[in-house]
Amino acid sequence: MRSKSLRKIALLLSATLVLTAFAGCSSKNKDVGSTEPKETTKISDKMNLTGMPIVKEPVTLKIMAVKNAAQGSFEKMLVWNEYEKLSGVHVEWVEVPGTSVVEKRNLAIASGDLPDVFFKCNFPSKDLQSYGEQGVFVKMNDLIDKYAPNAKKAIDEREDVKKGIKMVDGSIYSMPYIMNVLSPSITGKIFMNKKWLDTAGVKMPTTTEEFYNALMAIKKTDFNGNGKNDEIPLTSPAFNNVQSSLRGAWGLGNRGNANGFIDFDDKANKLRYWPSDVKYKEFLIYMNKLYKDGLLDQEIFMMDNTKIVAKAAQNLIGSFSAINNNAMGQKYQNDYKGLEVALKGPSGDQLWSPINSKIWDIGAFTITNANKYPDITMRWVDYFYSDEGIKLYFMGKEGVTFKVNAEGKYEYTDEINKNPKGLTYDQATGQYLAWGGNGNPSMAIDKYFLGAAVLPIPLEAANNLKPYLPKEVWPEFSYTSKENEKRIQLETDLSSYVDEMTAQFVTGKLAFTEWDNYVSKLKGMNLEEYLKICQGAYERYKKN
Amino acid sequence: MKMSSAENYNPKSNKKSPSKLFINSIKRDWSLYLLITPVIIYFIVFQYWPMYGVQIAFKNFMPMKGIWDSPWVGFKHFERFFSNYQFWRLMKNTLGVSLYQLVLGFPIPILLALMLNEVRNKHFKKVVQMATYAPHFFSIVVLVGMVVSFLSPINGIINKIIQLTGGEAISFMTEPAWFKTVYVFSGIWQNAGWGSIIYMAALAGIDISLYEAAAIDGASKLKRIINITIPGIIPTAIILLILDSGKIMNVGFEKVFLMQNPLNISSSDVISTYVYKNGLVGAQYSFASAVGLFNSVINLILLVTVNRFSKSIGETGLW
Amino acid sequence: MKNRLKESNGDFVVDIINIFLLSFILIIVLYPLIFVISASLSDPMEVLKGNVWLLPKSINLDSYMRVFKNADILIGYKNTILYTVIGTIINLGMTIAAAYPLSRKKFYARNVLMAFFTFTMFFSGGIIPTYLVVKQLGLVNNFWVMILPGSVQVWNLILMKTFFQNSIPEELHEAAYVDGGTNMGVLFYIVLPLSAPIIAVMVLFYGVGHWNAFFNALIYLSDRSKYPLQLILREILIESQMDSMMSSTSDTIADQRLYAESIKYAVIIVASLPVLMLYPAIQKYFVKGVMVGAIKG
Repeated sequence: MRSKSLRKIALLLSATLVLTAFAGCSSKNKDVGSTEPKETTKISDKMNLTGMPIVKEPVTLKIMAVKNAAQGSFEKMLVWNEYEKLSGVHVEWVEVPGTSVVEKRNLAIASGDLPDVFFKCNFPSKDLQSYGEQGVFVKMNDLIDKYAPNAKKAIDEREDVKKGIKMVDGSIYSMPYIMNVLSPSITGKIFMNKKWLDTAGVKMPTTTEEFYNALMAIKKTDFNGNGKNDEIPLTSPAFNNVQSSLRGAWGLGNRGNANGFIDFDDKANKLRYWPSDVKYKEFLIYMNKLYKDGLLDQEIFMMDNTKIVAKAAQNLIGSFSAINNNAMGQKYQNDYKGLEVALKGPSGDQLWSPINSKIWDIGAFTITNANKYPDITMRWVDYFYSDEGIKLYFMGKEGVTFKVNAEGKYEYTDEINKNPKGLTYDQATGQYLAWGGNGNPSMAIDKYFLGAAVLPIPLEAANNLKPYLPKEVWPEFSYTSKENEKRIQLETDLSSYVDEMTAQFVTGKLAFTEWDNYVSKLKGMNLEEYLKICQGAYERYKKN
Repeated sequence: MKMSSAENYNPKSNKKSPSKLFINSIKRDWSLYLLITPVIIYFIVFQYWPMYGVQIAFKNFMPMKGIWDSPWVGFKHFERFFSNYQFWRLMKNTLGVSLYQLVLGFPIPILLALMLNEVRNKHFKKVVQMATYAPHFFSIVVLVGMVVSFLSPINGIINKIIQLTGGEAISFMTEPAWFKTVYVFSGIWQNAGWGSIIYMAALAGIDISLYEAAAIDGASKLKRIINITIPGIIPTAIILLILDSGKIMNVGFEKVFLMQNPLNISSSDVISTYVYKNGLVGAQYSFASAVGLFNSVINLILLVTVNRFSKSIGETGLW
Repeated sequence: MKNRLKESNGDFVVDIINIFLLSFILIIVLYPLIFVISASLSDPMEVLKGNVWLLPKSINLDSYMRVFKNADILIGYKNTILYTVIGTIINLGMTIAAAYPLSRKKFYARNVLMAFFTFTMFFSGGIIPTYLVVKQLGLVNNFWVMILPGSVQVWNLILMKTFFQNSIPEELHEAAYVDGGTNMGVLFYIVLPLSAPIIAVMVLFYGVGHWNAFFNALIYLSDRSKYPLQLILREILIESQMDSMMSSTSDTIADQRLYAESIKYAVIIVASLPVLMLYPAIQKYFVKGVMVGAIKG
């Protein structure tokens, strides 16, 4: 009886599998979008070559865009309504929450349900390469040359942007978000509680030694007056913020943030994986000292944005590393000031290395092969790289969302800064403008950029650090799909290991006598092979 | 349809071919076949029709080519997974958490149901039921947030209690050794009440006259529990045990991810979080699919094994 | 009902231990629940600072007001109620339709179909082929995509089948057939009336499943007006978690975190309360004595 039913089961199962195989066959033809890469140089009859409106008759583009929780619906947003009036192009928005954009954008491609454009969907370089070479995204080089004079100018004027947005074979598959404003680019500024330092009579530190002493002074005194010595001298939303700020004092990260743990070894004249360098050991020894002596938040490896806001609200924070001082909350944020200079390390390094390249997002705007009007689309997005366009995109409409003050500076109106309905800054800007978050196919320039990073305190902090930034800041290198296959896996495994061991070293769970084991383990994880691939990409970058 | 069981009795039936038996069955039970047909259709449409996607695990999926035309790579993704230098750690952590959860988390809902069953005060019973059942509705994010704050070495309530009794504060969230315990116990706290519901239903199905008879015979409460109540829910418990064995590899991603940090990662790195990290960088459907397939095969083997074992010792099984 | 039977000392001890243990469990479980309620009623700043332990501090209803003022949340609520009610009805129908035949020993296709269903618990085509199927059925961005793809959960099916098999004795069926009953008659007049407990459980399991559902919505719905509650909540509460992974998406972290924290607990209460209230309604079906006299009668 048993074997009979087993046979029946097997029969039934194989029958259904075979049947579904046929069913699947028939759906095969329906599950891909057009496989032919579009001709990109046809001029549509509907388009005006220059000036506004862009089109002679109404044209609709279907655009998938990330809309974060603070923003209102794109349909009703001022920036889009105004632009439609100007350009004549109507947009059908497919809004996607940031929490599901990775699934949604990949599913749209995998299922063939392509929108005309992916906007603010933050495709990483590797996706641009692989989708571009498969023909999902339209190659933009010609389109930019012909129809995007503003974007072309913005890109060509900046060497690292011009080189960085190109794939290995020179193709451009996406418009970038260019960040031309200094302060937001410096992702890790150290802010210290100046009020407390003044009370203790301690000056702003200029070396790592002085920094240590300043932290010690904070620890010993009950600054917040609650009767407990619970002040936390140094914390951050994550350990990596602290690391990014302080690593420069050991000369680490000397080409900026874009390539992760890869920087340049000047002496050996080749790429370096700096977590394997002896200078990283020295850095960790210093961090371990801070941790041991109670100067570094004992919870640093469990921190997140919520926790730092909570600690700040209790007036516990002596210093922290972040892009701006907003996390300290309305009540205390003005107690803090940035460092006056970059900290000088024990060997004399005085580098401040947490700086992004000018390409803030490489995959801000892609045109898919389902798009019938790539030329119109390129003209459409090009506007946002012109002065007028940047103004509309970031500032909105004069009298409604912004005004020009007596000194000629652009400011938001009270509708945004002191919203009558009690909306936060993000929510208020988000009702009218779409630039919140990242991934904007535009360029942020000083005149029109009013993110929190350019408020007085972070702005001053950035300017203080300016002289100590790396002389050369790399954008992210481009790799072929084949290189990426190998490289990304190695990179993920290597950095997981580095993160894990860093935590062990800093908290003292692992002694520094284990350092050599750690380095050989890294080597055993094919570090050499990884470096070789990156080195190849670097040489291509230099040549281009 | 009258005397159907008598009609079907045929001394020659074991000589009938399967197809004849099948036809007889349709004649006799046509209404049952009709009834179950919509369900079969549902499964064919939503489960078996997409089943061809399983082959993604053996291919290098390229969206433009579709699943059928993507290049075949055989076991490449599996090799990548097995050769990962953390593979054994992932297996150890995943299985460790699952087994710990099974051993501890399986009996507790049963015990809870048994205990509640013996309570005669209806109000107390209701209150306890509602209280234990409520945590199931907390989102994982909130649950982990609460766990982290209750376990904080600085001012978490658990450590305060430990310190009051003379002990030293323990940093639960950063000690690898504590990870499994925190994970499992918080899971029990959240789900024991919910898990006891099915047992409450099973207990409600026990013939009450059995209790009355036993009581008349002078059996104590304990004896009644052992001889009537427990045998009454054993079939349900066994089915659930078998089903749970079929989920051993499925340590969910979200809760572990929220509880993970660089200090406890040697215990908290499980298969699902590893796949997430590797899959996050790009649409790694093939890789994720291969790992998922590996998990499923192990789950299926375990389920069939436990099911066979259960039937061999004379208990119920899934089929 | 007066208990005329004498209780021995042993019974008394068992009862006391039982009550004691249950009370202990009650306290452990109750504390975090009270915490959540208190937190939802407190000033969010106090909660953030960690000052709320058991009782609310600076009681105000701001959190609740903010939740109800959020138009998205109200829409999500409405949608979730619809999905839950309609979905659960369909679930029940389908599950009974399969569990009953599978529970009959004489049903010839029993084992084959069991294997057919159970197989799908382990192997599935994955997101992409499923999406394609759903797309071909025209269900993308459609109300029914929240209901049809999940019509039957094999887990629940197995539980129901087990209940039918074990809690309804074969003799009852025999007697019915002898009296001239049909399969359907037995189902409707004998099995279902005696299945109140398992039906109650199914309503709970499926109902709660619908209430908490968000994944299908995430993948298939692009129309905000169809979003279920959980999806809206995830946006608000989880988006901030993602902050620390990608480069910061909010310039004003403090304000954003404060807003999220301030509604977090109110959101839990508002989202869970209706379903919690479901239990007392269902609970009366978990009453013993359902089987009294069934056999003798």
